Amino acid sequence: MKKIKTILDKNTYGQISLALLLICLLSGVLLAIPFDVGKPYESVKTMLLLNPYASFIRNVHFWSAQLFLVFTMVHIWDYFSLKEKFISKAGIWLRLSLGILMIFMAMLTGFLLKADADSLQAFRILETLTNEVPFTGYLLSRSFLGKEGDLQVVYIHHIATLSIFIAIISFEHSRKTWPIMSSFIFTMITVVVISYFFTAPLHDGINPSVKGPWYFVGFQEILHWLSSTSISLLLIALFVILIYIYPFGGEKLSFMVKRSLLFFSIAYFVLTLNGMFFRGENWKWTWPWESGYSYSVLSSFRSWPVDFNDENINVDNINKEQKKEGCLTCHADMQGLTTSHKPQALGCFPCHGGNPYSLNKKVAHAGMELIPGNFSNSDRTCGTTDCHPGINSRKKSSLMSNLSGMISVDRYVFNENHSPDVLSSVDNLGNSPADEHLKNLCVVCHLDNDKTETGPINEKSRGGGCLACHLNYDELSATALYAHNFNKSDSSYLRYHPSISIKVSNQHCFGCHSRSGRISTNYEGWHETTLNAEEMTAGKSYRLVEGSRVFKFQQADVHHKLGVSCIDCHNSYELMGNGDIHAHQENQRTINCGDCHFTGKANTVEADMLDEESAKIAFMRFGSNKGKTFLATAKRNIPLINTELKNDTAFFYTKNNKKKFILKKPGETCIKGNAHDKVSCSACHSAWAPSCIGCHNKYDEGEAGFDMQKNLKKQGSWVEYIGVFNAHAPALGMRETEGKQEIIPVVPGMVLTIDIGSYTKQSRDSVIFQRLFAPAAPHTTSKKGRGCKSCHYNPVALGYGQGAFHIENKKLVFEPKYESNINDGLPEDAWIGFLSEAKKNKFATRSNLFPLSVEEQKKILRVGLCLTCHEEGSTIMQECLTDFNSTRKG
Amino acid sequence: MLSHKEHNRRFFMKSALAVVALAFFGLWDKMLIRHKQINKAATFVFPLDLNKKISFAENFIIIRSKGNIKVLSSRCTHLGCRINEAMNDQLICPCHGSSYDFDGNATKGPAVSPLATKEFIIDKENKTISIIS
Repeated sequence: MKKIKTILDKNTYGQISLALLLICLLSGVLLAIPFDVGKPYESVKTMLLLNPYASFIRNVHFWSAQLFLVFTMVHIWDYFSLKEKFISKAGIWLRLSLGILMIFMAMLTGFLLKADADSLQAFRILETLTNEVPFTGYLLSRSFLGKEGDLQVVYIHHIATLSIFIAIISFEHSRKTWPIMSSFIFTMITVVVISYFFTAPLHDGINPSVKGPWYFVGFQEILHWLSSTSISLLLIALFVILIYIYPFGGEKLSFMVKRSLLFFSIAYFVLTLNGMFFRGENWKWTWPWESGYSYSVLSSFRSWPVDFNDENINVDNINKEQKKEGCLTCHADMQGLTTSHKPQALGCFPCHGGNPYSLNKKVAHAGMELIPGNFSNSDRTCGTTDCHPGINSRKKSSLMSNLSGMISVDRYVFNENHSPDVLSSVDNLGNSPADEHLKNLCVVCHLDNDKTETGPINEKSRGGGCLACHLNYDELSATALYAHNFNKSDSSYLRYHPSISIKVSNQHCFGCHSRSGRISTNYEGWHETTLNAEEMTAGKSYRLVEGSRVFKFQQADVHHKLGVSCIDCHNSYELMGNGDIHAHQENQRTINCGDCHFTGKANTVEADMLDEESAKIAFMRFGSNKGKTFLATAKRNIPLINTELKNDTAFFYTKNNKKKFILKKPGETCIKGNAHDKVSCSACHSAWAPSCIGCHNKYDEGEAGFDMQKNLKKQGSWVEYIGVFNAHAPALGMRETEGKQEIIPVVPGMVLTIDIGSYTKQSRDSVIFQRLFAPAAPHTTSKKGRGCKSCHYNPVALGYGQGAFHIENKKLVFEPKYESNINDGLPEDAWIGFLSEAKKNKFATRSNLFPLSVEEQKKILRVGLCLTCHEEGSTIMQECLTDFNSTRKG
Repeated sequence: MLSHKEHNRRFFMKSALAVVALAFFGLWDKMLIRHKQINKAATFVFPLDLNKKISFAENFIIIRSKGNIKVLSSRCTHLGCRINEAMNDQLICPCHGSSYDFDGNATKGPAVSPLATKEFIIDKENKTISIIS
């Protein structure tokens, strides 16, 4: 014990610091060989990737320097804690005091020399601060830092000026050039062990968080709070002055100095902890439980052992790719990705993460994203600063992500919202009956829902972030993945990557949009029935979706027949959001029939005036935009990049297979007279729309349920007991937008009952009955609009529900198909009673949607009665289009 | 106690050293001024993408808004960090979180001064922009 005590007594902090300084200086000399000050970042990367020996020496240099700083500080602390002051000569003490500053400068210049993203910003901060030194700022800045982008001056000062100064004052202070052998050996062993296990940090070039070295982070925190940064220089000067005056002052001054330094150290320690553990991207305060905490805040702690196993390195044939990132050493021959995502250009790391600086498989794959593009990781994959930050920042504004309309309407139906138009988000679902209903039955379809398994997007896919639309498996990649799933030892899938592209097919949309409004299936002509799979008749008129849902063929949309895909009409700002939160899909949608089938002068945008996103997409799809004139939407002026206006003729191109069409003007009936001014195109041209009635909702505690928000199984679930599914021409409603009235197609959105008490278990909660109609975008466009009678003499169109009109005693009578509902006395599928106003205030899933007024009903039916005798195409009926009243009187 | 002779010698040596130091300081200053003059970069030329709303080009930010182009320095007025990100129509400094609007005005601290505006010349034929530093 005595011997150990003797050894420990000899190994003072000063001795250890001296040993660390020597190790640092010696390793620095060796490090100068592989380090290239002309290409500093590249040379450090090359060391990490291809020269484990150099990497190890870099670690020794780094860790000995960090420990030298720590032990020097402890040594100073030790001196200040002595009861008796040792007073050296004023000149030596001055040099020692300045030496502390020099040590920090040597450390900082070392930090700058790795020239990564952290270092480049630190250079600018140092340059600015140095420039703020009164009178000599520029002189000092240029002389000690040089100019931005050239580290020659910094390198010279790091290896010569500062190192020599520190070595001299160290010798002058200790009168030794070599520490005692035991200190050196213990220190060396410690540094070597640390250096083997912990590689010195290097910013990956993608992570948006920028931090200084650990000893500078407290200072960075101080600077964050200072608008006038020159104050920080005073703090540094004060620190040096306090240390300098300490030995020469009286007892009172010394006490004050010690207390000041103690306070300063504690405050700096706390600020350092703040900076290290709570500051993320853009120096934003980030709590450990916030998403992305470890990526954003703890990235600078990432370290890994040195791998001396160099069998992956072929020193005779080291190529550019290998120097770029380690991943490409094993995955250089990956095929399948499009030019813009080629690994040979981008590498693998920007998308998949992991560790680009290691050739060790385990280290390289640690923290990797198998499925990038999910919204849970898109901040650090697709959405990073160098890739698609603009889209990433607005992704949450898309209704396909936040589901605002769906949530707001469902809460409205459950009487939890005063309006169906409240801006809402799937992120804020609680435990109310409506929210539980949404979690059990609805919110699986949103882009935030992560894709958890590899494989193509198909009709069973839900969510998936960026990949929901942009992932495409070709035959090779699909076959290779299938082979791997069948036999895990088959690794051919590692050579065939699915492509990430703007080739978005209808199949991508189908999974989610074949439900609810069923736009995808309607578009292709399929109407969902209540039949079971076993009841399905063989033949082309039925289709099975997801193995159990039976669809019957009705009539496909005319655009579908021509080969037009969903994305040919719907642009990137509709699909990925435009940054604004919208209440409903019709608010987010910009495209209207009239944008392509316009009358009069087209709304256009010149190629030079395209926004960046549209210009990029247009170029990628159709090549050079030079000199082109594109059509643009009337709403928000979004360019339709697959159109072109040439010599007064408008052309339309399909985006995926480049089919060309001449855009037609609206038919004569549409524009003749003013009789149909208020009628939207879809009100006439929607051939049919799905219509569901008689649905009942009840919470069943025994039902095996699912929380779609958390993707967890649970006991108990809302259950939907479906009623009748019909397919017929839609009803008509009046939408009022900014004082403008428009007749649009509507369908029974929510004609249902909800047993609220089954969930709340409160006797006061009775069954809710709702009869709400919703605006529809049926996507069943027919070239020829519905006939006159289809609106003017059709009880469905007027909102009365299915049935028949008769004339009895010179009066029009309506006979409904369905029995009256006991809750409101109206036929099950009706919106309003025959020639009646809506009975209550709550009648639609939008606050700006109304049933036709009695006056409007009468106007429509008056024409309808004429049509019972006069043919649609008759002269008199055509004249009615221009002036109904005059024609009637005549 | 120094003799009078020694005192004079020491005074002379110190004075001479001070003069030499002053001269050296002067030379140092002159050298840097000339160095700056020689290496002064007059203009920086970058390709111009008229469709791009915002481009980060080395030390500059090129902003196109409603057909007008504006060039700002990317040097944050707080501590000089390079601004390389725009989010929600704000330019964000990665070091301490300052933000600016597209006119260069500071909208969130610690920065308070606006970003410097740079003069530029557009060559429409060659689609380039020359920024005068």
